[in-house]
Amino acid sequence: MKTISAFALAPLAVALLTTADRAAAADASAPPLVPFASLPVAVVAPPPAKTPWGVGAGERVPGLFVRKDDNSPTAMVSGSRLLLDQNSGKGFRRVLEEPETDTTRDFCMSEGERSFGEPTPPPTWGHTANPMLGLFGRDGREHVVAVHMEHVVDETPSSAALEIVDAWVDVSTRGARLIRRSKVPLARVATAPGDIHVYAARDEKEVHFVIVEPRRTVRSWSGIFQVGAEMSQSGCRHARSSLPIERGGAEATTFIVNTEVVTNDAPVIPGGGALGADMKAESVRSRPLRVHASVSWAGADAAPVLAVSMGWEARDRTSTAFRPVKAPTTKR
Amino acid sequence: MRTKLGIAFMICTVCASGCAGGQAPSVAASSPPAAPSGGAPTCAPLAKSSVVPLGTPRAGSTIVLARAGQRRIAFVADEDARAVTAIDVDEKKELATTPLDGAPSQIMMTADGRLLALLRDRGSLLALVPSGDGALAAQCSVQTASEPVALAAAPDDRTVVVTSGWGRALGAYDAGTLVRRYEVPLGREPRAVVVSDDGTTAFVTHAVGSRMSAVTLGDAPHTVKVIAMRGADPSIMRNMREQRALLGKQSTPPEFREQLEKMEKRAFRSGCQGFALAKSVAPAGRVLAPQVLVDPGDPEGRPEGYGDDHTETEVSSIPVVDERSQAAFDSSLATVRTEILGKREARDHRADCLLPRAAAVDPRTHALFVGCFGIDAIVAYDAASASPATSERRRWIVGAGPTGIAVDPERPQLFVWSQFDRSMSIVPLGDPELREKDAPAQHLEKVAIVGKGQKLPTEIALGRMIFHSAGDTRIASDGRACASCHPDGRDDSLTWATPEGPRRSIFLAGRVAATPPYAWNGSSKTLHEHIGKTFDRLNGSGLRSLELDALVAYITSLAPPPSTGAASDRAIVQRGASLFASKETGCAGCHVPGAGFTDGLPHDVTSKVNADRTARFDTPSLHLVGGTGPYFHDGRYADLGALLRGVDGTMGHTSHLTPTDLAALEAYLRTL
Repeated sequence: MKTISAFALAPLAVALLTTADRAAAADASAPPLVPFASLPVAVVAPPPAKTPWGVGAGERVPGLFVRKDDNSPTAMVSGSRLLLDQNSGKGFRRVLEEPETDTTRDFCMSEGERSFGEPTPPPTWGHTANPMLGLFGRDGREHVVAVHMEHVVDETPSSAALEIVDAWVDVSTRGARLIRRSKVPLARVATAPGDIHVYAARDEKEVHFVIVEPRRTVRSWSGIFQVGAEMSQSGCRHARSSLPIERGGAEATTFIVNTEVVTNDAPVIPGGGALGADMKAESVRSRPLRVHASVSWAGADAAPVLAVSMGWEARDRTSTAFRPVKAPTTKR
Repeated sequence: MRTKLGIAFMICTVCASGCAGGQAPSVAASSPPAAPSGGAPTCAPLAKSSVVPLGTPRAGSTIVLARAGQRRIAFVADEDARAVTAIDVDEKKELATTPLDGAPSQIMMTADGRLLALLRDRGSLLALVPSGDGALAAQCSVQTASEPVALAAAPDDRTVVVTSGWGRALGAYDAGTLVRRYEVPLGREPRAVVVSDDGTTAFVTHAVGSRMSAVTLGDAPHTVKVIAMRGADPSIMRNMREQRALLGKQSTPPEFREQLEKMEKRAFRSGCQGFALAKSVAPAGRVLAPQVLVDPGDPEGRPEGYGDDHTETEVSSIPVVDERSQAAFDSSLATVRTEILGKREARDHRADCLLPRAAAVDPRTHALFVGCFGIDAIVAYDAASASPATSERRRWIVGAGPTGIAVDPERPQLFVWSQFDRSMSIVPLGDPELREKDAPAQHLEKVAIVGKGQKLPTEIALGRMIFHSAGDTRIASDGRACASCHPDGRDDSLTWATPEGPRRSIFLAGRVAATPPYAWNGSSKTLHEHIGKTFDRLNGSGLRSLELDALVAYITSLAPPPSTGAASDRAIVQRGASLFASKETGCAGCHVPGAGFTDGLPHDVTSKVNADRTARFDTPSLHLVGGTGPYFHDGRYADLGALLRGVDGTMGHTSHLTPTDLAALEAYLRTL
């Protein structure tokens, strides 16, 4: 592929930052076109073709937590120990009291998937991503499942990175064996109201678009929907869509995400009753935002054309969210 | 100032379709007193003009921008008033109105400073010379194929191309002398046209027929490549693509391919409402074609209304056509499913642009602006996207019936001509809708055209707005408008699944008033009754009587398409007429000449299919039958030839006719 030479170009993250900032200031809905060559080069590797027979019970991958589900023959997997606690009915109060410290949605998990065809296509990572995976035990070698975990790190105004851990998880032993650990550099290509950022990176075959929500201060989040080439829902703080690069071809994806603004005009909720005296109401104004990204390569284009734009998906709504008020610490 | 052209242009003889060169333009019989070209009333480029085009759009519109010294002028083609009005866009005041001999469909500034105008009902291309005060003087005109609707210039500014709707043709003219070089026949209802960056190809939309035509320009032969404008769910498109690739590799029986084609036909939505086009600038080499994708339902089923009960019947779509490959990106034809977000409620979601009628690109913000009838809005999309329809950035409400958009190349604003309320909207750009703080918004301004020239009667003007009212739940719960199935008051060329069985949409313009009863089974004696039933099937709540009266008045006032001119061979047509009237063929027994070519009665012509509830169908009028295919209540015959051969013994007799006689009969039908 002739375009490979373009990948040798160094990422122009600083230039991208300047451009993206200027765009956000001028008109967030119309960020300037991002040159393909300016994106950092990154590879999101697919699952290995060959699955191991088993993973020992004592094998562990740091940062990846595997726990038996209490009520089913299922292994629960997440990068957040707290989330696994919550799955067991613990650890909710802390998140309610300090939602800004909630990292349970930071890790995005997906499972390796095989498809059928002639010749057999290589396995891929599933499109639906959630902070926690439930792996079901199956017969034979299928009790070993490829698990992909990624989370956004190193967030700066211009860039970020996607930290990726791929591992084999044995549902029967709940052991985990590292496949690979990698870090994908991302350049910010657009910013939407509500501190929603869009990042991108490229490799030889795909452009990876990553949309990242801010940490919520209230628990009214409803997820990121992705429609277009694939349809999925992400329960994580970020969602990634990888669009193929093909001369003469094109692909597009649309994320739909809620922007939220906490206002101070919430009605006063009387204390006591079912809510308890320590619950505080907050009025949250939210509006679904449509973030659209695409890659296309027409005959007249020297390189693939990236496009990122955004607009409102629907009208805004106001809802009331509740959070416990922390009792002041008193010294005795 | 008001300049009256008051002249009948002497149009030279019609050149038969396909002829090349030689048709000289006529000279205005009564030239204006001060023709800027030095007094010689010839059709030639201007050596010098005080008015120059603002920007280089090279595409016709109902609004174009020009500069005359310090003054910036918008010329608007006012179809109702049959005039071109000049407006000072900075002073926001009307400068001059120039009445024309016909209704202008589009205008365009040439590089040398002339204003070209198409007169839709006259079938002519007119060159006008503007002066600095906005007045226009006639220079010359040339005849086009019937019903010229759009024009564009080649990048070298030497050739002008004109599409003709009812005449089904693309004509190429010398931009300086307006001499016609050649004419290329096209499919049904061509509309907008643009020329590729390299000048080799004209891309033409069609209001119906799921197609775009790519016509090679320059030297003959002038081939026409049909680009499919059909779309489907992305997963279905991918699956079909894979199956096609698989069939391409293997030697498969023909029935497999037929089965796949049948599946595709059912799974893919049909493209419709191709009225507008725009070329992207950066990236270049792309043609953006706003339309809608229609699911008319399974013709073998009987839904509760018109089309499938469980899908959105119409969704907006903006195919992106690669100029080089002359194919549309699959992603731009994919319909995006949003049902995961819950049921689409009108209150929660913005109404789709279901009647796109104008388009323009702003290279500064790589925005595609689409003017939408019905919702009377300009919607901004990402022109660089691989799927612009899903990339809406924002929208502005403008005057009713936006038919033209001009991007100001010098300031961040748009000018929009709205025909229905005859106003020009000035839309400020650079005012982001996606703002977090409550910054003061820039306001849209309107310049209403003062009542010069003839206007539509109030009742008909109201009826026209209702006819095009998309997103009006009184008409259809899913936002369809009357114009959705009857673009330009004609038909969408589709067969819809209905509670009665499959039904072809009917061509309305010019043939409704005199042909009761209505509906394919003739169940409605009046139009009021039939429209009421139609709203009911569309799950609309219905109109008030005053509005229904206005709608009926508009529908019955719709003019038939202009004549295509004299038939090429009168003897053949006369032979066809005698065959039509003969007892042997039996055509005139039901299609009664002098009575709108119908007897107003239902007949069983053994055309019932499984989904039909009855076997008897009202005799349709044959008026304009040559331009209204496919034929029969279920659209089973693609063209008149197939119909004449297929109905023998069930609806008249044709097996005894020679191929020459069949051709004569068809030629006669085309004259009706």
